[in-house]
Order: sequence, then structure tokens, then C-alpha cells
Amino acid sequence: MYLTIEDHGHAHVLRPTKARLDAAVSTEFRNQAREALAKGGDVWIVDLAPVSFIDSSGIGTLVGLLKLCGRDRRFELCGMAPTLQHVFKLTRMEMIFRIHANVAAALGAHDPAHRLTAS
Amino acid sequence: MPNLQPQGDCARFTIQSSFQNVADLAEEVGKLCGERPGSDVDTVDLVRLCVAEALNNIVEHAYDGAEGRPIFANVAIRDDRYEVVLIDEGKPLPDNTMPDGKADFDPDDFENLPEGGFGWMLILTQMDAVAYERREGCNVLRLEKMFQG
Repeated sequence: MYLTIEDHGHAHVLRPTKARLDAAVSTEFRNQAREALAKGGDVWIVDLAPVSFIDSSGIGTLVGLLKLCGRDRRFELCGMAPTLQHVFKLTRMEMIFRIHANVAAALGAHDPAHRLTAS
Repeated sequence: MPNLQPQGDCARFTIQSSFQNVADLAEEVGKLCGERPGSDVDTVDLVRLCVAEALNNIVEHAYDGAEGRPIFANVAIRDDRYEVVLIDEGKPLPDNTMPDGKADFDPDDFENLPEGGFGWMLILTQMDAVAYERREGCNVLRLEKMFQG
């Protein structure tokens, strides 16, 4: 098991179970994530809080999943430790992912009730 | 394996190629660098990351993903820098030359967002010195990172 999934109704939270998202686990993580995404759902949030190390293979996996979701679905990230944020900055990935501070912020940004209230 | 005759104290590692083993080795190298009194966390993180990228390249490209092939690592903490030398017996880099490490992309070109190619970019931009040579049928990659502060 390389990830868990939480169904929050309007969004799904996908959470890696390993502390490293690297070449050693990226293939299995990718396969399990693709299976999950295939079941549908318009909003997917990846909670990276359990991850303390990511390499270019892990980043490439996240980009592949983003592209799999396409332009019509949301695939966003949250819970990134400063180390991960730094790697995303170095690789300019911060420009292509929407990144939230944590799960609550990510879910709030997509909560239909919250958006109605806010507007 | 070429005799590199490292000067001074140097930790030597030998592992069999696999993505799990190289992940463990990169972690070990990071731990070793972090044990230096006054070590800077960000600098150590970068060494760990770049060593991991270089080791992944060895498994994926030099050994074409084959497991059980030898990888040697010498890790030295000098007066002013970390020095990591990685050696493998796999295929040489194309033209015996390091790639330029460019990883340009258009963030608005969704369909063509890159899913790889960051490894060399990270190594070449984040290390202070990187040298590659083909010696006695081996790839020898030397990474150096100066201490901060």
C-alpha cells in the first residue's frame, strides 16, 4: 500500500504512506494513484505531509498524474514540508501546481458551500 | 574499480544497484554529512538530493535498470566542503560527456509538461563542482558542495 484515499464528497484526498516519494516507490505509487483517479472525481488533493523527501522521479510522477487529470479536473497539492517546497522551487514545479498549506485549506478552497458563502 | 586514492578521512560504501539500495545510500550520505558539527540543514538536503539523483541515473541509465551491479561511493568531509565520488561499471554517458542539465519548459503548455529530466539540472545547478570522467571502464562522478555560513 503506497497511498490512502479519503472521500470528502466534493473532493478526494490522496495521501502517500511512505516518507520518501522517489525512484524506489514512484512506479507503485503511480500505478495505485492512476487506479484511484480512474474511478472519477473532479477534485483530487495530494497531501504530501507524510513525505520528507522527494526526487525528480517523484516530481515526474506527480506531473504525470496532473496531466492524466487533464484540464477539466483538479489535481492539487498540500502539506509540503519546507524541504519539498525548496525542490519544487528549484524545478519550477511551483508554477504548474496549485499548492495549499494543508488539507483543510485545500478542501476549503473547493467546498461548494464555502464558495457560496464567500461569494 | 579505479584506485582514486582519496586523501584524508573518507567513508567508503559499496552497494548492489537497485532503486531501494540507492535511496538508502543517499539517506546514509545525508546522515553522514549532517553529523558534521555546525552543518547546515539546507546544504545537507541538497547533497542528499543530488546524490540520490546521481545514483538513480546510475541504476536507470548506466545499468539500464539492472539490479545487483556494483556501485561504489566515497564520502569525504573536507575543511570547507562535502565531497562525494560515485563509481559504477555501467555504460558511459553519451559522448563521455555530462548533459547540459537544461530543463526548460513552458508552464502554460500543459500537454508537454516534463515528467523527467530534472536530475542533471539539479546536480549541475545545486552542486558547487561536478566532474565526470570515464576511467578504466568505470564512470566516475565527483560532486562537491561547499559548507554554508
